[in-house]
Amino acid sequence: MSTPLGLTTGIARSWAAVYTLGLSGDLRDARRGELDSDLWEQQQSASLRRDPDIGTAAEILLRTLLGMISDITWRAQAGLSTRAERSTNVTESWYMRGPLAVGVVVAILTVLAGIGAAADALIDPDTADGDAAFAAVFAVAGVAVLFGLLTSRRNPVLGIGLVAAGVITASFMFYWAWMIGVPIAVELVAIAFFRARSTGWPGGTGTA
Amino acid sequence: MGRYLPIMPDMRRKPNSLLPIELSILETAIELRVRGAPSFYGFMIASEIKERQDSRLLTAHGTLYKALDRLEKAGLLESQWEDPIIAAQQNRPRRRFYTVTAAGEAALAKASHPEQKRVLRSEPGPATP
Repeated sequence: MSTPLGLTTGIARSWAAVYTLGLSGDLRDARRGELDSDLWEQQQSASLRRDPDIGTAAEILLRTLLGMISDITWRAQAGLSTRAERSTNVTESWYMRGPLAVGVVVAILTVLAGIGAAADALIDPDTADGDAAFAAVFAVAGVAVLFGLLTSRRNPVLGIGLVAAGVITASFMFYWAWMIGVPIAVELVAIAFFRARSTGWPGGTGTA
Repeated sequence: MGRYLPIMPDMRRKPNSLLPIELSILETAIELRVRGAPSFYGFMIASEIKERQDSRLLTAHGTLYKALDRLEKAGLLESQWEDPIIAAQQNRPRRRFYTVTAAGEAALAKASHPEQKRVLRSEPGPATP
């Protein structure tokens, strides 16, 4: 591929990448895929006809520029549809709000307990240095659970992963209280999992 | 902007009316079907429209794909992505194939002969004995 062709196809692809940002995966991939196919076909057709590269490059650039207004209006319409879909998902998952609120409260209490214990360990000269670190790790585990729960709809893998990492860490730290810790841990992971599932994940987009 | 822009075309357009680009797509697709190509993809229809209209430039990407999207949403076209194996064998990106539906044919017939429709509507029915 010559430099002008590479440049203009790059511009067309970059523009598509910009205006499809934030769309659902299916919609975004479909539009980018169609454009990729179009650009490839146009280049093939031009090379079969032995058209000069500069002419093909100019035509691709013009097609991109002349279609920008349509791209923007299409994006605005597609964005509205996506938002409507998302609000439907939120309405459908009202039953998840209760368990989520409980999970968030548990995570916040974990963070506060960790911060409190760490502060206490730092202030009290009789406490060993390791205690502060222990408490800080507990607080970080709580933060991971909190963020994981809140992001489990937007990014299921990251959300569930954070919750799992947080609860596993906390459970190991308080292994002697496993009879209480393990059921809470399982419940927190389950909340993140079912929140993610309500968006259609793993088959769907995983956004909300 | 996103809140108001999408409304603008709807305000200007009559319900069930076809824009010139949509009409071109449907007409060209039917023509292609008569010539033995039951379905088409983006670049194919753009090239055919360019030839039919004897224009110097292919339809702009945004205009073309927005129109195809609109026609599909209106049920006038159906689309299907090509089998990835076929595309991989030919070493090219996958094509999205569109087919004109029965509703698309009807919409085209209605849009192509509005005068005829009007005449038919204004003609008196057969006289009853």
